Formats: sequence, C-alpha cells, structure tokens
Amino acid sequence: MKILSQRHIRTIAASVTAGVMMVAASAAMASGSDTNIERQSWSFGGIFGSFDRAQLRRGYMVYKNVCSSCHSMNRVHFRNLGEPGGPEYTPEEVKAFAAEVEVTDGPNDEGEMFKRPGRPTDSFPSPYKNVKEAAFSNNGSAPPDLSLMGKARGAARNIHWYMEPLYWIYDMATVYQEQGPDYIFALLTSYKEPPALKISKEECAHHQGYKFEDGVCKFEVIEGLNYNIAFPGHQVAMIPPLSDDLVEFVEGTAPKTKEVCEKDPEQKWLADENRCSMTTAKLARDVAAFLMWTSEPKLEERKSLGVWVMGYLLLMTVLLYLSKRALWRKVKH
Amino acid sequence: MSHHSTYQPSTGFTRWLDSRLPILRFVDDTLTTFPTPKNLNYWWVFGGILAVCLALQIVTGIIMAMHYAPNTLVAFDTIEKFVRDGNFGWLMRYMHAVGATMFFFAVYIHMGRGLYYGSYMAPREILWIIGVLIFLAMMATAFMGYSLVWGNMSLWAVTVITNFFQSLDTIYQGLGTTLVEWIRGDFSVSNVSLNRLYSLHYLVPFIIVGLVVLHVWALHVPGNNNPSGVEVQNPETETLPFHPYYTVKDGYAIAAFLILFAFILFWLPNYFSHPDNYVTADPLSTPAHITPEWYFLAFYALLKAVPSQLGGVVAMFASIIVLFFVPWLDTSPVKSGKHRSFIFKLAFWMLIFSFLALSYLGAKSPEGWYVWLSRVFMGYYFAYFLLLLPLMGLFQKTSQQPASIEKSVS
Repeated sequence: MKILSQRHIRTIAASVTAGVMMVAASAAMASGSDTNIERQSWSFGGIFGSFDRAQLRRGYMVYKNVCSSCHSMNRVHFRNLGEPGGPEYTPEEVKAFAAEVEVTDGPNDEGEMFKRPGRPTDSFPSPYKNVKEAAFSNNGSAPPDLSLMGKARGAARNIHWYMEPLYWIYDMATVYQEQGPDYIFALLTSYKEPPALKISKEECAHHQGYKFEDGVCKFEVIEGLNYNIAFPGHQVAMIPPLSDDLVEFVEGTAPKTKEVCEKDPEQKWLADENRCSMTTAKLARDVAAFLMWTSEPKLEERKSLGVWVMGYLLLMTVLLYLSKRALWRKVKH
Repeated sequence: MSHHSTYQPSTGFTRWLDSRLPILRFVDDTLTTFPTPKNLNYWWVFGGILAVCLALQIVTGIIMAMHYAPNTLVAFDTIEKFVRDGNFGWLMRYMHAVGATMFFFAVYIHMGRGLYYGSYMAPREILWIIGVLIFLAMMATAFMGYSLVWGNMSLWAVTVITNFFQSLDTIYQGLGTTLVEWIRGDFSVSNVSLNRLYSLHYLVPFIIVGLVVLHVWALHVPGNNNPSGVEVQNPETETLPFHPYYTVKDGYAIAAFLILFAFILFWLPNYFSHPDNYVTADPLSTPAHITPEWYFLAFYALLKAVPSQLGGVVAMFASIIVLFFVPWLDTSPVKSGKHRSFIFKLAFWMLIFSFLALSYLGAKSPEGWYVWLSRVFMGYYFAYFLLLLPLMGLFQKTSQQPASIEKSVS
C-alpha cells in the first residue's frame, strides 16, 4: 500500500500553499523603511527560550539607574521582581528595592495625603507628577511609559518588496517574536554623527533635510533632537542615554579576570582599575531583555505550556489520523 | 441530503422527549446519520474547523468580558491587568486575538473552496448567501473586538472606519456628518462609541451562532456539494453516515489545524498584529500608518485604490455585495472547477492571486505604483464575478463532468 498517494501529495501541497498564502497576506511589518533593525539572538527567543536571570537583573539595574530618571513603568510592580519567570529576586531583596522609593499614599484618617516607603505591591514610581510635567522637562515630548515597550515597537526592515513574503516565512519558521527588544537594542546603540556628504552645493539642494555648510552637505538635525539611524526619521528626542561603563556590575557578579571578562566581546577589562566593565552594547542588550520581560512577564509560562500543548496535539492528531485511515480503508473515495 | 429520519428513541425518557421536543432527533439527523458524499476531499474540513473557531472565540470572549471595562480611561488597563495578573489571562487574551486570525484564515479557505467547486450553485444558493452573511457579521465582530483593546491603532481604526460614512456628504450635504455622529454617539470617537462597540461585540457573535444554525439547516436540505460537482444519485452507494466517517476525518483535520493555531498562539502571539496597539489610545497622536489587521487588508486596498472617498467606500462594500449574486452570475452547467475548462482554473487562481496581492498592497502607503497595482487587481476582482463567471459558463460543456459520484472515484 502506498502511504503517500498522489492525492495526499496534492493535499499536502495545498496545505503548504494555504499556509504560505496566509503568511503572504499578513503584512504586519512595514517595509521600505528608512531604518533596518537587525535581528539579535536572545535567550528568550525560540521554542524553548527562557530569560537569563542574571541578564534581567543587570537590565533592571540599567532601568533603575538610567531609564527610570525620565521614564515611568506603571504596569510593573516591585512584587513582579520576585515572581517566577522574571529576575526572581528573593522576597527580602524585593522589599529592599521597594523601600528605596517614596510613595504618596492616603488620605489617612485625618484626610491628609502622606509619604511612606514603597512596598512590594506598589508599582514602579513615575519620575514626574503628570504627563505635562514630563513633557515640560523634556523639551516638549514626554518620555513614553516603558511597561510594554518590548511589544509596542516593531522591527522595520529595509528589504525589496519581493523578498517580504520570504522573510515572513523565515520569521515564522524560526519563531521570530523579538522585534521589540531588537528595536530597543538598535535604538540604544545607533546614535551616530549626522552624515555629511561630499557633494556639490547644487546636488545637496536635492537632498531633503540636508544643508550645505563648510564645503560639505550635512544632515541637519532639528534643535533639541538627536541623530539616530534606528529611529524612523532618524531624529529622536531622547539624548543618548547609555555610555560605556555607565552602570557597573552588582558586587560579586563581575568577572574577576581579564580572560573571563573579555570572553564576552561586549565587556571590557579596565587594567588600571583591575575590573571588568560593560560597554554600551552590553547595557543596551540587558535593558532590552529586561523590557521584554516587563512587557511579557508570562513569557516562560507561555512557552513551557506551549510545549505540552503541542505534544498533546501532535499525539491526538496522529491517533485521529490512524483512526481515520483504519475507518476509511474499505471505502472507495 | 435531506433524508428520512432513522432516529429510534431507546429509553422511556427519550421517547417522552421525542414526542415533545425532538431535539435529540435533530442532533441524530444532522450529526450522526446524515448521509454525506463519500468523495469529499480535505478542502471540505473547514466547516468543522470554523465551528471550533467560533466556539473558542465565544468561550474566551465571555471569560475576558468578566475582566474588561468598556471605559476609555481604563479599557486598555483592564486587559493588561488580566493578562499580567489573572489566572491564565495571557492565554485567554492571546487565544482570542490569535483565534480571530485563525478564524479568518479558515473562512477564506472555506469560501475559496465554495468558489472553486461551485458550492453556491443551485440548489445551494441560500446556503451560500447565509455564508456571506456570516462573513459580514464576522467582519463586523472582528472590527469591533479590535477596537475594544483601546490601543492607539484601535482608536484610529474606529476613527477611519466611521469616517467612511462622512463621504455621504457628497451626495447630500450633512447626511454623512449626521450619520457619523449618530454611529459614534458623539462628535468624535469617545467613551460613548466604545460602549456601543462593546455592546455590539458581545451581541453579534450570537447572531453568528444563529446564522450558523441556519447555514447548517440549509446545508442539510440539499446535502453537501462534493468535488465531482455531481449530485448524489444513489445514497446507498455514494454516501456515508456523517458519524463516524466524517466526525473522525474532521476531527483529524481540526487537530491538525489546532497545531498551527497553537504554534502561533504560544510562539508568535503578536506576529499578526500591529505593535502600535500596545500603545494606549491617544487622540492627539496619529500612528504613522493606520493599517487594519491582515484579514482586512484586501478590502482596505480597495478603499485606497479609488481616488474619491465615496468611491472607495462603494468599492469596498461592493466587493462583498457582489458575492451575494454569485449563484446567478455563474452560468456554468458544471459545478466543480475540477471538471471545468483550463480557462476557468486560470481565472480562479488569478482571483486568489488578486486577493493576496490586494492584501499585500493594503499594507502599503497609497502612492506611486502601489495605487495602480491596487486598481489592476481590483479591476480583476470585479471582472471575475461580473464578466468572466457569466461568460465562461456560456462556453462550458456538460460532457466534461463524470456521470456520477461513483464513476468519479473509480
């Protein structure tokens, strides 16, 4: 008996075509963009991916020491830091982190609002009283809340239109759902000097956004904005937030020798201080991972449940297929 | 196949029930003994798959409604709260959102199968028309459900879609404006609009359930069409009881479909939706590109392909209205595309290609050659139904189809 008849082959071919059609019909990713966000490798990507606890903890330090001075993150609570699937700090550590901030509570029995140290059930505090103050303090554009940043940004790709369906198929086959952290990493590491073209004044006039100055055709950045090739339009209000060695390892977690330190090309050994430091890229990567976790705190639960569900469905499908074959064996159809 | 009921109540209670409300007889007639052509191929499994999709959407939807507040101030927050802190909130939410994608994926194949095998032809015109009504109700439900998220894309999608009716101002001054205000319940999309979207999003799925019952009823009078396109002549040799033959076969297909569903649900839950909808609705900040979910992109392309706003709206609605008339636009005496000319097959696959191309173009900004291509494919879409189907049928020879189902499988 032939297992794969011509009919089966046709059915399989048809299902594959249908799948391709579905992918082709989805145009979730806008293309033809002026940016190109490269795909990074993340511990939480793929079928069995999970967060790297040490990376989440480093990322939290970057958020706490850098990002949180301008950005709120009001959907995340201190208690989340101790929950499974996250940085998994101990309850004592969580309490200590919460106690570092001052929270306005109340009104009390006398009708007065009062300040108290934070508790694990409090959400991360906002650096500003309200959006107006946030905008006023930042040149008119309020820094966005970071709670969902890992999912609220996509990864634009500058590819030819005919390549798009192929990219979608590749994305799906390789389980690409890390567009958000890829964008965050790219944004934080893509602050550059505005480009200057060595062309004539006449040619320069044809380039939108450029101005001829001192013999070169320079890209003109609007006052108060910064040049960043990952940001759509290339001009972003956020000043470059990270720099090499801006955040140090938490005591006891730093690699102790030059060899161990420089195994990671994004870490640098500072010989005169005899310690390992983190480069901008490393800090950006860690905080991007942290922001993915804050966006999707149930990511690990999702993927591990998915493996079980998939196993169950595969078994059920095989059994049903065998039943179907046994049942239909004698029917000419 | 409308058939003589063979249900035999076996206990005292079922005999008592059968003479009062023959509901068990109905279930037996439609799901157990229903004579089904034995030559159905795998394109016929999507009806069962769609029933599963509808059930999943209703169950997950009802659960989410318990945690949702249709108020612009907190709508987005209540969903996020449920996803982060509710028991399996993330699972319900993603199952519902991915469920919409899978629902439309299945419905498009189901409709494509109907178009290829001539399942709309006599005596199944009503069956087809109810199907198109279900599709319309699905579109309305999906759109309203997307708005409930109250992300920035939600808000702007509702703004754009309700603005459609503004175009009626060009026919009668003030008509469009009045209608838009009436639909929104306000001068702009606001809390009032969100409340009615929520109310209707909860209502329409149950109308779909009702339409599905009618759809199944209308199916059970003439019986299934089949790949040969020839009606059943001898039920004894050409049909099989629905159970166990098709319950098991459909069960297998449903399980296989759920594998794809689970793959997207657990590993690519956000792949098919726009990141901007993870940003809370903001009337002061328009997204760079307002795009609908993938399953509406083809219709969105039609909207953008016509230079006038009213024209675009008319084209979009016409693309669905035309489906109601397909049973009478197709003049072919042969139902199944399998036994129709090469020209038909080519025309059909070009229609599928046009729909996919329009879906692709719907995601692009309406400029340059994107607009022109949209017009070409839009032209073909309408030409297929209004010109090709009526004309091709006139030259179709009946001799090309098999004499019976029995002959077609031997």
